[in-house]
Amino acid sequence: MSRHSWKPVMILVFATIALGGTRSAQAQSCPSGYTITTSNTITGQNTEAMPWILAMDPCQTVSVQIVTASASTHPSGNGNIYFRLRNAAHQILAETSFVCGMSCSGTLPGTNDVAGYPAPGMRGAEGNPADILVSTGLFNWFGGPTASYTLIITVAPRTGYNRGGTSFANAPMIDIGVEQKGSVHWREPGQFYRVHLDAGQLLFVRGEATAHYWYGSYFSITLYDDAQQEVRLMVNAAPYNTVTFPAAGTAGVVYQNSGAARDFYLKVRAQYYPTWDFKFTAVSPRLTLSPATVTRGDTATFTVVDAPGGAVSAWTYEVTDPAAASTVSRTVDVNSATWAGQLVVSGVGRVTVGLGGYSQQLEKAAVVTPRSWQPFTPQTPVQRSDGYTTPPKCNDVLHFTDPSLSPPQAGIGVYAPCLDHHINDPSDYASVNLGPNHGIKWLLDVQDATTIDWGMHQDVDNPNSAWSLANCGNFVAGPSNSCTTPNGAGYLLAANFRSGVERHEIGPANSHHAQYVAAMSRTDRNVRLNAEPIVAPATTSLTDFKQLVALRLGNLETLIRAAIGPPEPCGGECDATCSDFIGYINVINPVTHAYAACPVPVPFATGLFSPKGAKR
Amino acid sequence: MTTSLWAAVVSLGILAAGVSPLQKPAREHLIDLTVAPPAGTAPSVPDVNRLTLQAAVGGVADAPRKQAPIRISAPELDRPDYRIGDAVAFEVLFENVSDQPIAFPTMLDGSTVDRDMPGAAVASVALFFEDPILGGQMVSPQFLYGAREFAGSLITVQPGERARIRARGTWILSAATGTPHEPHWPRPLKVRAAVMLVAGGMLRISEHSNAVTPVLFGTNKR
Repeated sequence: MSRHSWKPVMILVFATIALGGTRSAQAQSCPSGYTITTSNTITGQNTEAMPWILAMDPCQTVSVQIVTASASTHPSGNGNIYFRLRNAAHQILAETSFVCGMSCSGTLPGTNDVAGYPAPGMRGAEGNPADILVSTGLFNWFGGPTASYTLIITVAPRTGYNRGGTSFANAPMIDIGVEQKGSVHWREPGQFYRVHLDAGQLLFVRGEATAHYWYGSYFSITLYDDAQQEVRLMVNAAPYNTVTFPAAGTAGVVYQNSGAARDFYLKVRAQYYPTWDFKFTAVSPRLTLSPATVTRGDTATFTVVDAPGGAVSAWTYEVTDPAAASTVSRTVDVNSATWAGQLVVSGVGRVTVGLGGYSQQLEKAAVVTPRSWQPFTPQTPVQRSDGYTTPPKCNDVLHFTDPSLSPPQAGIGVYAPCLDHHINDPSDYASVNLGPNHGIKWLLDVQDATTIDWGMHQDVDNPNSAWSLANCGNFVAGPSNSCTTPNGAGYLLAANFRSGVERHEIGPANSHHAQYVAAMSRTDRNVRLNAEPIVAPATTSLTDFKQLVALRLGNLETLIRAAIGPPEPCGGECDATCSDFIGYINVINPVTHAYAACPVPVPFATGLFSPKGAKR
Repeated sequence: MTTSLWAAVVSLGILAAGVSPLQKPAREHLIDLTVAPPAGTAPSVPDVNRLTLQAAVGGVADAPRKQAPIRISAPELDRPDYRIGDAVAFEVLFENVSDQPIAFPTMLDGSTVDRDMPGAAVASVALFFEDPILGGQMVSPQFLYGAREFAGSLITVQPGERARIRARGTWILSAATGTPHEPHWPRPLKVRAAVMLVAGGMLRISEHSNAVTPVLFGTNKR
C-alpha cells in the first residue's frame, strides 16, 4: 500500500495558474511553461509520493533536475528511489532510479535516455508526459526510514511543435511548403495532417528526424487518400541521431494526384522507439516569379522550385492582357529551370516538370503594372503677330480679324494649338528580346512636341491705336445686364476688352487654353499617360506597331483638339467670369468711315450694334 | 514598278437602295481588304522613307471651323460579342461630305511606298472605343498605303461618294490593361469606326463615327 504526500499537488495548482496557458487560447503559439522547485519526503519502503501533475501542452518539453536525494542518514545506509515520467495512463515514458545513500543527484529523463532529454511533449496522450511519480524501493539495514528529494521541474515551450491531429478525424489542414514540427512516440497511433492536392499535382516530403543515437526510431510518413486508404509510403527512415530525407538532389518518393482535386492525409509515425524531433514539409514543385510585382519593362525570372532532380520542358507564356493576347513559346535553353526576361504585359508562365516518373504543368501568373510616367504638362502659349505660321506639321497661319469692322466679327484674337508628339525612332520603339515576352512591342518614351500659339489684332493690343482710343469705356449697364443678355449703352473700355481677349484665349479659366489644360489633365486624354500602355503582340511588325502608336496618339490629339472649342469660351466683351457684359465695341461706321464719338450719351438698349453681334 | 496587283480588291458600285428616282444615286467604292492581294515585285523602300501616320493636329480656334470632310457610319461587325483574340470581320463606310475629292489609299503593304512619291498617302481604318475600365482602345487597325506611282493604290472619292472598307482582323486591344480577370467584365462597349488619313506629311482626316455599334467584350479566351 502506497502512501502519498499532498504538498506537491498544491504547488502544481499554483504553477498552473501563474504560468500556464491553454492551447485553445494560443493555438499558434506555445505556452511559456514554468520552472518550479519542490522538495518532499517519503516515509517507508515501497512507497509512492503523490504524483506531480504536469499538465503539459504537446508543444512543451519537460526536464527534471534531481538536485539532491537521500535515502539514508547513515553513511552506510542506502535505498532505492525511482523517478518516473508517465503518460496519462500511467505508463512509464522515462525512468531514473538510484540506489541512493546520503546524497545523490541526476536528471529525469537521464541525459542519455531513449525518451530524450528534455522529454518532448507529444501530440497523443500515449506519448505526452502527464506526471512525475517518485517512489521508494527497498532500504538496506542502515538506510531509511525516509527518503527525501528536491526537484527542479522545468516545462519549456517549443513553438510550433505537435500541431497535427491524433487521428484522421481531427487532422488539421496544412499548406504545401510549410514546415511541420513535432515529436512522436511509438505508443501513439501517429500524428495526422490533411493536405489538399489539385488534380495532377505532385507531392513529395522532405525533412529530418532525430532519435536516440543507439536506439534509433523507425520513422515513417504515409499518405492516405480522402477515403483514408493508404496510397503511398512517402518516408521510411531509421533515424540514429538525425537523418534527412529525401537524399540530396532527389525528391524521394513522389505521388501524383491522378484524380480530381481533393484532400489527402499524411500520417507521421514512430515505431519501437520515440522520434524526438521531426520536421517535414509537404512539397509540390512550384513556379515562382521574382520580383513578385513587376513594373512594365522590369526583368523578371520564372524559376522552377521544389523539383529536385526534375526535368524541365515546354516553357510558355500566355499573355492574358487583352492588348497583346498571344502565347510565347521558349526556344532557347528550353530545359533550363529558370526563364528570365523583360516583362511588359501580364500573363501566365507555364512549364512542364517531370519528377519521379510523373509530370505536372506548373503555372504562375505575372501581373505587370504600368510605369509611373509623368503626364505631359500643358505647353505655355506664345503670343504671335498677324501672319505668323505655326510649325510646318500644322502650317496654320494666324490672321486676326480687324476689330473696327462692322459688325464685329470673330477672330480678333486666335488660339492655335499644334498638338504633336515625338518618339525617337528606332530607340524608343522596343521589341522584347528573348524571355517570356519575346517579340512583344512596347514604347520606351514619348516627348511632347506640341506648340501653342496665340495672338490678337494689333489695334486691340495697342492701347494707343485709333480703335483703342475710340473704345473709351462709357458703357452703362442696364437692368439685368449679363454676358448672355447684354443690356446697357455705351462702349467698352479697350483695355478691358484687351484683357478679355487674352482671357478668352489663354486665361486660366473661360479660355481655349483652359479647355486645352482640362483635356490634358484627363487621364484618358493625356498623350503620355496613354502612350505608356501601348503594346502589341509579337506577330505585329515593328512597322505596324509604329503606325498603331501614331494612330492611337493621333486619335488622342484629335480628341484634345476637339475639346478646345466649340463650345467657345465667352468673348472678350464679357468679364473674366463670363457674368457681365462690359460694353459694345465701337466700330467704324461703314457710311462715315469713322468711329462714333466716345464718350457719347447713348440711350439704354439702343446700342449701335446688336448685342448678339458684339463679338471679338 | 507600277501595278494594280498591289492594291486590295477595289470596286465601284452604285448605291440604289434608299435612293428616290429623282436623286442621283451615290457611288460607293469598296475596298475589300479580306481578299489577299498577289505578292508585289517592287523593291522595298528604306524604313526612314516610309509613310507614317504620325502627324500633328492643328487648326486655329476662333476661326470658322472646317466641316469634317467625311461622315462615318457606325461600324458593321460580324458578331455582337467578342473575346480576346477573336477574329473580327467588319466594314466601315464613310461619305465624302466635303466639296473636294479625297484620294484614299488601298494597299495593305506600305513597304514599297516612298513618302516622297507623288500622292503618297497612308490611312488607317480601325474600331475605336472608350471604356471606364479598359480605357481608350483601338481594335484591329488596318493601315493602307498608296501613291500615284502604284496604279489602283489610290482611289478618288468624289464629293458625295462613299467608300466602304471591308476588313478582317483580330480582337486585340492597343493598350495594356493589366490582368483580365476583373469582376466587372464582360464589358458592354460602344464601338465607333475611326478613319485617319495622312498625305504629304499632313493630317488630312481624323474622324470617328458619331454612331456606335454595341459590342459585348469578354476578356477570357473562348
